[in-house]
Amino acid sequence: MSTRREFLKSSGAAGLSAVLGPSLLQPTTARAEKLTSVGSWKTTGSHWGAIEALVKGGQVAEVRPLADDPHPTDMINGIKDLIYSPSRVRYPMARAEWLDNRKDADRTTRGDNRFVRLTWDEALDLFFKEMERVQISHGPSGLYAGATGWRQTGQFHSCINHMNRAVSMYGGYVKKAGDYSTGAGQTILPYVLGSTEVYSQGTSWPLILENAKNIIFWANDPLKNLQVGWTCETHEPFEYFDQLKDKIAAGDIRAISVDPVRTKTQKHIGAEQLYINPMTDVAFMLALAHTLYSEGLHDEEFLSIYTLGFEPFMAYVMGEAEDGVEKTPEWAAPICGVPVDTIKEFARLLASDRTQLIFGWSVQRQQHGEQPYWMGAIIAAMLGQIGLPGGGISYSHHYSGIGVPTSGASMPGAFPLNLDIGVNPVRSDDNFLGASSTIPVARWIDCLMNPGGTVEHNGHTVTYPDIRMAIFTGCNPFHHHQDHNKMRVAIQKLETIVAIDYAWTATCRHADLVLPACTQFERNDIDSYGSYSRSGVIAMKRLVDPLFHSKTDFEIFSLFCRRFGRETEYTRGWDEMEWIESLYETTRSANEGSFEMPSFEEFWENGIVRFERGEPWVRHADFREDPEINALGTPSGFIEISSRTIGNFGYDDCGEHPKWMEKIERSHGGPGSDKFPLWLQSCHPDQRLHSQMCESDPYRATYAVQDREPVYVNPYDAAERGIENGDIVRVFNDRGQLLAGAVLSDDYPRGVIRIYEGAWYGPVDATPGSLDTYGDPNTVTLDVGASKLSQATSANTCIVEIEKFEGDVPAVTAFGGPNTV
Amino acid sequence: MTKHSPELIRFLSTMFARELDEATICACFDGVADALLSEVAGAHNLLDEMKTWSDPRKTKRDLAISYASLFLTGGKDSAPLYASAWQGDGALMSTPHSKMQSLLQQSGQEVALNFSEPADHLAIILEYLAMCLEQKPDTMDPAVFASEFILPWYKGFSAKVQSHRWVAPFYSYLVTLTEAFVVECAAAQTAKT
Repeated sequence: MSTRREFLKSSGAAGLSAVLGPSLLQPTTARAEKLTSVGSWKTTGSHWGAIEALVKGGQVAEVRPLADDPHPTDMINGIKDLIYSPSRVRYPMARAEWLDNRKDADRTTRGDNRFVRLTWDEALDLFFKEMERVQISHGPSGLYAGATGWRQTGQFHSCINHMNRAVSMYGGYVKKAGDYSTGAGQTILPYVLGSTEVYSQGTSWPLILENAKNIIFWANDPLKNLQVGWTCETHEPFEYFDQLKDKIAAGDIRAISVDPVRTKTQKHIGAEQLYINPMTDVAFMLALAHTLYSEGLHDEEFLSIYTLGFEPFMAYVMGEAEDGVEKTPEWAAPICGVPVDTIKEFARLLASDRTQLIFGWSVQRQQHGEQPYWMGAIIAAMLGQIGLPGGGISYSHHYSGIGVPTSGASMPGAFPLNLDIGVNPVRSDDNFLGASSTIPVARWIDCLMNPGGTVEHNGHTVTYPDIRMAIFTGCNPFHHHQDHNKMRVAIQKLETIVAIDYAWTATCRHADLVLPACTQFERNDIDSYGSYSRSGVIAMKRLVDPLFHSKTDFEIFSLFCRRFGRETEYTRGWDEMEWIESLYETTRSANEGSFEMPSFEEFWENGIVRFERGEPWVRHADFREDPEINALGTPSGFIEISSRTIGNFGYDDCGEHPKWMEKIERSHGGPGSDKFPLWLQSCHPDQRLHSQMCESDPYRATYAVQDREPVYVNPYDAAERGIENGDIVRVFNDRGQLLAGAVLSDDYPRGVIRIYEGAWYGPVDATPGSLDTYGDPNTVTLDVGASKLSQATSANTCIVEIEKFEGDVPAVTAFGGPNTV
Repeated sequence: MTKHSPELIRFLSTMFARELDEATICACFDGVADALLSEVAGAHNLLDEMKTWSDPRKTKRDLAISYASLFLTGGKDSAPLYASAWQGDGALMSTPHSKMQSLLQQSGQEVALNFSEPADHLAIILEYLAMCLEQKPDTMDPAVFASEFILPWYKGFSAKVQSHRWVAPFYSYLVTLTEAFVVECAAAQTAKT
């Protein structure tokens, strides 16, 4: 076959050869031979579980769960279309206006702006030059590279680590404290129980099922959330829920879901429901404490041996504190919506036998979110069962397989987050110009709006730095931060936003420079099989080559570090497979003599190493056995029912012991409910991992309503507003407005609606306040710190009104990439 | 169809393959494609447009923005250059891609490594059409290929481009001219049958 150039010469149009580049086609190579094959099945891991993928002709043709997954999630069906989603970021792109004018660019049009394609060299040069400019002009306080969240699975390619290590190779930057999932809980619980608890292994399910007579799921829907895991999920806990279902049916265990909504878990296992008004758990629990105490149902011996500060707390409960209000069931009932007798009966039930309390995370994602968690610990302490099998309290049994006995094996470490010993950054400037080097993660928008301002946080005063540039990788704050309209104004303060991702999230759309990472299915990696069960180590084999112009995080940041002469220090001179082998061999060494692991070659060939399930275990049993030798990590070493440390902070919104505090806004008769009577609950989704997979179009179509995110509404609330099942409705308050598709369900009580977080944000245009076309609940949620202690997210403190949407329905703009206006 | 049809198709393919660089813009402004395009009915708009490219830097920027808005960023108003985007459920690299891969393989070809695009990219499709017109070994009848593989989705693609707010005149004319050629190719099939 003649070449293109020869053809042009022969055709008499040789001049055109200067215009036409090399042919877009080339003779068939070995690469194309794959087309004739029947394909091969490859194993890899994911947040959704271990999978096998049929790769045919260089493409993923089919995805199925690994054969021994005991309870594969339906979300496996979204993986293929996540890889081939039209929302993929395919090339390095820059916002045109920013490219022309950089720090002087018009920032008001971010989010609905025109982009141009760059080469990787152009993009990485720009990335580095902007970081260098900001560092030189403003020092480390001008750069925010601390925002991290979930990620794709894989210990080596963990994007969080790559960004932190790479940016640290050059110099310092502003970091974050806490996270959006458990910010209030992970701050208060170390003062109360000595550890964050939210990310701690819990009492093993076999022991709970064997010993508990009452299991209380408090604002917790584990069957929804256990579908996904931080590392490759094994789905092992589901067998225990099936056993629990049988025990409930047999009358061996009584399970109660304390929740305004009938949950998936409640319905599956046949649990009872104890309805409670949203955001009133603390009032309810204070009344429980009152009943336990008044009726002598509390465990005085346990309280005296294992706790501190019961008396000041009880003085508050009994009306002997400053407020003079006795927290009786009669006091609580009008607030929490639970009848007086039910409160008393519930308290008696808790004390009647072995009772396991299992809290979810939603209840702490609200204003004063520390209080219900603290109160839960106090109720558990009053019952005196902490440290007993099937008793006490858990804050984590819905997360990443917690409750499955751990094997005890060492798991693969990650690509290093920090610099290696002996490696120094290019710039050693650590002058933050009087500002703090770390900010509470959920306050970063306040920080942008108030540089130099101060905020109290966990016993310290944080001074907001003057941030000029932000880098996000595998992180979508336009999903997890509250009040998007406020966000859109605040980010106009940033001169440059760099986003690295595989899909055009709203964060990418609001960025100036967007770099295409490949998906985890386009790279090799290694991962834990079971985050907490440590059931094995899984080889994550690349299914297909990186699509379009995307690259792995490792390659992106290696090339980035090359710009300032730190590539070798960054990579240690190792390539992808050398790193993976190193992580494996380190794990194998750590497990030597305890857990057999084959050679790396054999592991990579077989795809997985499994370990035996460990022995059942009881959380805090060691503390119960000897509270002096096995003291908790609290200031006193005991369970702190009152905390002198917190009391000394002098905060008006988180004092020395838990209290009932009215919310800034609350449904069911609370502040603002006359104007916005519905509580908007935005808990973790059932068919996504946060915002991951929302862009998988065919899978989204299995639950979307008229292409919109569902909003679940009580049928009577809907009828009062003329809303029918399947209607498009406008959800609104003074902060914003969104469209969603109505799903009427009596699982939801009057005054409560739900839109799952993670729905992609797609405003009509760049104007703050503009209508969100798909249904991201954080368009309307409240952006205030939970308290001065945690400064955590308060997303579930949110009231709204809904109405049937009339008129021309705008097209959904959330997917596919930026729209241009 | 003219004797230079394959050459013209390759020119169109190149224009769709990527954004124009300054050298290409200058060459077109200087008339490098005049002889080729002047033989083609309906190409005068394109030729006239190229004659306005006196500022290559500005032209490059404007065309790059239009190219990205139209073809690359994928928003609801965009017009992706992949056949898969217009057929089936819209997922990238679906059946049309597999079919193009198969056709290329039958003719002993594959997408060049440095192009990094799926086989159902319009530039690849046009390159293959040029090969068909040249009757290269193991290629399809160009008329069949045009009527069965391009036309079913091209009209929708063309309409989306023409209605886009940021379509540069160059891309508008390019899409129109390409459509005319594809229709002409397909008509040859109709004539045969």
